[in-house]
Amino acid sequence: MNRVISVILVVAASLFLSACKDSYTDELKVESNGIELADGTLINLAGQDAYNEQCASCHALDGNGTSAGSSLVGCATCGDIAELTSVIERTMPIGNVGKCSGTCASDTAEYIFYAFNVQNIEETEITLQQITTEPAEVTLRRASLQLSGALPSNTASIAVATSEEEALSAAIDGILSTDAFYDVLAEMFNKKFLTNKYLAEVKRGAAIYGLALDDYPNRENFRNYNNSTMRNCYYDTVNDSLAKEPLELVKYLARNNLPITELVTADYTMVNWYSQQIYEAELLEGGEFEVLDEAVCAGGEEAVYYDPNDFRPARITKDLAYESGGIQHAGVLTTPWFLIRYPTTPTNVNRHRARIVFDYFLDTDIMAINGGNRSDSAGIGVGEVPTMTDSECTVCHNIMDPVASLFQNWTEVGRYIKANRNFRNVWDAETILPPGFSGENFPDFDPEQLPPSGMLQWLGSKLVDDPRYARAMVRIIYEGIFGQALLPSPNDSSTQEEKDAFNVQRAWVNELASTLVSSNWSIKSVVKSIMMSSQYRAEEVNLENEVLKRAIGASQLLSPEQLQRKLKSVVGFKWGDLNSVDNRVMYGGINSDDVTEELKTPSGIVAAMQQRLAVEMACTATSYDFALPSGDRKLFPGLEYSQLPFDDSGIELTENVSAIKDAIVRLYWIFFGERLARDSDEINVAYSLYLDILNGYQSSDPGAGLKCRATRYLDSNGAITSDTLAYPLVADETYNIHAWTAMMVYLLSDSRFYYE
Amino acid sequence: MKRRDFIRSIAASGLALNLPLLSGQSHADAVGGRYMVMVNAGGGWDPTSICDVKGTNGAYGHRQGVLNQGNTNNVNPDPSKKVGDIQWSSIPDTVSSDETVLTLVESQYDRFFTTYGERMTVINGIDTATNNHHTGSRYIWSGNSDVSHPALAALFAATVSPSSVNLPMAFLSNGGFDYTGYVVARARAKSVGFFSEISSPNRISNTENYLPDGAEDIYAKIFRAQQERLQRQISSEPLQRKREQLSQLFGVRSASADLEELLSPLSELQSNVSFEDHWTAGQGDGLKQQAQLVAAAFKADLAAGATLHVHGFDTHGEHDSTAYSLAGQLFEGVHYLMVALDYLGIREKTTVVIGSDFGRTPYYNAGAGKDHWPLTSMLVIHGDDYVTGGRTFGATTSDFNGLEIDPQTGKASDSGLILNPGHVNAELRKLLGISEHSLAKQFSVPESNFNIFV
Repeated sequence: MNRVISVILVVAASLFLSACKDSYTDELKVESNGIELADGTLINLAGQDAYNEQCASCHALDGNGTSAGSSLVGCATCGDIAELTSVIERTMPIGNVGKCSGTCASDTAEYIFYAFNVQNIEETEITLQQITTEPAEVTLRRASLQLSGALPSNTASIAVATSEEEALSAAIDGILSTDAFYDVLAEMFNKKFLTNKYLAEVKRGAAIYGLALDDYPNRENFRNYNNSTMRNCYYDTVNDSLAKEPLELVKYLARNNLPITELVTADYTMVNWYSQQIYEAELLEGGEFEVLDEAVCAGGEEAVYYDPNDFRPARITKDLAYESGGIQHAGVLTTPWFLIRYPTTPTNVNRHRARIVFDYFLDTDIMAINGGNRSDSAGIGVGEVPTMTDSECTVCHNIMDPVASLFQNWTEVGRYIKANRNFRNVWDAETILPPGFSGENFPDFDPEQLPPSGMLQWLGSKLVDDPRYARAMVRIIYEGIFGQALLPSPNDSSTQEEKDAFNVQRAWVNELASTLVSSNWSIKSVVKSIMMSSQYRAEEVNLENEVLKRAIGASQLLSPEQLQRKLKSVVGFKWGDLNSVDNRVMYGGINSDDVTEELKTPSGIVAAMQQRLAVEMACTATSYDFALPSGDRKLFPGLEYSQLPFDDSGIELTENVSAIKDAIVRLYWIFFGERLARDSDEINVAYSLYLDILNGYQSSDPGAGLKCRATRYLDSNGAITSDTLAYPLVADETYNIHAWTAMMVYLLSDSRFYYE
Repeated sequence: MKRRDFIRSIAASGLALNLPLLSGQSHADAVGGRYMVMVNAGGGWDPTSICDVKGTNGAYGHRQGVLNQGNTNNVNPDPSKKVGDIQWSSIPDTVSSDETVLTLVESQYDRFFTTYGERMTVINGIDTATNNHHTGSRYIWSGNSDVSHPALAALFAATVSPSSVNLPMAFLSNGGFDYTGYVVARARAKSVGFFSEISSPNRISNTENYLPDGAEDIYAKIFRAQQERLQRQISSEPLQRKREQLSQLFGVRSASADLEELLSPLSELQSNVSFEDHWTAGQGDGLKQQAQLVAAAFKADLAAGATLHVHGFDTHGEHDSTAYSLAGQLFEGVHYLMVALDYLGIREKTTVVIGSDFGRTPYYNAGAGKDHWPLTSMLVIHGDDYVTGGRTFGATTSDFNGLEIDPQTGKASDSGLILNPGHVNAELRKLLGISEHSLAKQFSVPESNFNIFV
């Protein structure tokens, strides 16, 4: 097997370096204020002064950035000096746009290009050495399981085995077109948006009663059904149809290769038949929703057949209680689930929402801006409106409050009611900055008049114009795939190693952001770039930098959802105990409500759950798989439980031994992605364990009855159906099923089953 | 063989030589089997409605749009509601128009402070210097507003172990600020009923196992083989990140064998310490459930630090009708915790710290709510060996602003210092006996000479 000795990081950084070097050098010669220092380097001193004074508080003196401001090292989204000059003039400093324009902006741009895009990357390049990547077929298996919850198809596996990289690329394209991938993508975005809080499994009715009855009088149309089974099912189906609205937009954009910018700019939302009934929304393209052959909900004489997964773009144009003509959509920003997930209060006046917008869509933590944190509260509240007059406050509020103002037409409970001074949506325009973004005011806003419509649409258009938007999208995908946060921005106490590691990773993130932009904002392009990257595929890392070394490689403790998908794919059904939200939380998952952070370090509880899973699943799956026709089996295709390794006289049956070992070899591959030879040490250890246990059972004869009998088919949740198996298994006279069950416990306990 | 004994036998045989990264930071019997609980009132509570009472002071009458004549509270302090120098709040009529509710809440306050006041230190006038929930929670519970510091209970769990076996859920989190700084694994226990299943993986019932024993304990044999395989994986794994993950798993798997020890104390509590008898049926049951599991986990030597969490204190609207009742329920939950610890014989080994993100304004907004305010309080309930309870340390002005505090007396002093969460955490670390531990030094808090706990 060929191994790819990859230096992708180095190459990426070097490409960067050359581009930046060339542009800087060329422009410097003709128009810069740069001077040559004693060591021969060039630096724009005026730019350095301006940078240190106006930029360093967010971007840090060494350009490494802080959580309040992006790193400028390896700054792919900076473009060239002219473009960066323009960006500075239009958007910087974010709390005081316009302070640095003209020569100030061009000097600063020059300084940034030299100081952070040449010098630091040269240092970074020296740090990098080699990453050895795993074979293409291993990547294919991992990518397929992670992105679609299924093992790769035989066709894809064969193609990758022969033509490797090219076939891997094509196979990943295929994976990215499966329905399962879109669900996985939605899961990644939910880790940020947390709008699944409103699903029925977390709290029944949370979405239905999140809507105002006088805006949506059909809200309780579940009451139209008389049969309680039907009504309950319909209640939950409608609820989830509403709650899924933001994440269905993510899926729709990816499925149709539409730009991910529409996440905040789409002038439509997503409905299925059930939510359309509530919203009374108009489908953009008309047509009828899909009807299924089997009822989605049924009880008594009542039934409903509309496909709950058939979501389509639509607009809410009907009159609301306090607004005629419906809603001017701005992607997720105007969905009730985003708005109530991040609520406000009369005194918070949407600042919470503004902070979230900066965090989620601009990768900027407002709370980390220097000056925003005091050592004590003395002097807090200078002036009647400190957020507008106290310099300790305005450093953040000047950035945050214009965005908060843009949300003024959306109430605490996410209703659209024009802001005014009466009780329905109280807004005091004199105590907060007018609506705007990044120094630009919303056009024609007059605090004396009823506020205009479309402010969030305007915000969406500004967000996607900001270079940080692309990086924010990359961050969501990166964290979704790697299961860990990006390296934190360095601070004054960071070591050089931490800074170098951050710079290397940031350069890659910026490169991914460039890929996103150049692919017309196709979110799939980012996913694929990561899957093909040496960071994701790293098998061995030979770097000096320990921080960077730890950040490379995509191995992570599978989330409960990922684990369930894997079980369904490789064993045939999920573990019933993980269907409960509370149990998933115990396993380290989130409920999008009060538990919003996944645990990636296992506790003893997690380890105990793994062990219970291994025993329960092994017991059920082993006898069940052997009871299925050979072609339908997931675990033992081509092997029969009657195949013992020895005959009645104890003489080894060579063919059977080979078949048993081959079955173990296959399980190592599908469970762990380990390609092992039949006579490898690990296979011999496993076979010996199987043999030992078989002998032990046969000699002690504890009773042939199976603890997990296989008499009926199981559904994908492992629940017993009413369909009877043709060849049920209830006893095991030879104890071979017992031994295989024990072997399955061994395999399902393996670390590599839980880390991918 | 009991699973715990079995695991110990593996350790004794040398299989566990490769110390897992996390458990290596536990220190057996460092402070003699002590426990620590952080009780988080999520959202930012109002100290003036609890233990830093101001009354109908009219201090903010000049502010436009402020209700209640600019009073900080809608009720004046009652001098009789005092233990030592701990003064607690009376209950205003604005809490409810229902007399039974008023009586209930007042009884919860009174019972809490009269029962625990003698073993309690109240810390007032803690300046968080923030109105942000995240920053405030982090600062209060870690002593540093930086993201990189672990919560006090996590740090405690990592430095103190009551057992020579690694704790499978050394730090048990029920929510609130629970960052670990990677010094200890964080365990969540949402589903108490599931414990009996996972604590004995191979058991179907008391008389039946999934994997029946053959000539030997088959499950134990597999477990041993799997740990051996894990060791082979650790030693052959070239990728550092994976190697660390495998080591972590090896450690927690070794410790997870003790989980069944939880069942006995949990069952005892469920049978003998009911929610409704301590004190009121239907009051603070969520917190009581968390407390029950935490107490059982401590008793079973499975955990050393824990968080309890109740949210809802972010009372921007209708403050009085929410905040007092919620505090009453919080007191019910803490009381249940103390009773459960007492029943299990470990109350005297446990330190309970109660706190919140920050405080609330000393005046009411137009919605009769209270907004964020940087000054707050914390309550510490000591084990029996602590004899100088009934003490209030720190102070605020009559209109609930910060004061400089004399580090020795805890009283206001012009030559004193502003007390902040860093100081409080430094003193709590000393109280818990972990301030000199290498992990505590790694996550340092400011030097403090505030003599909070004498």
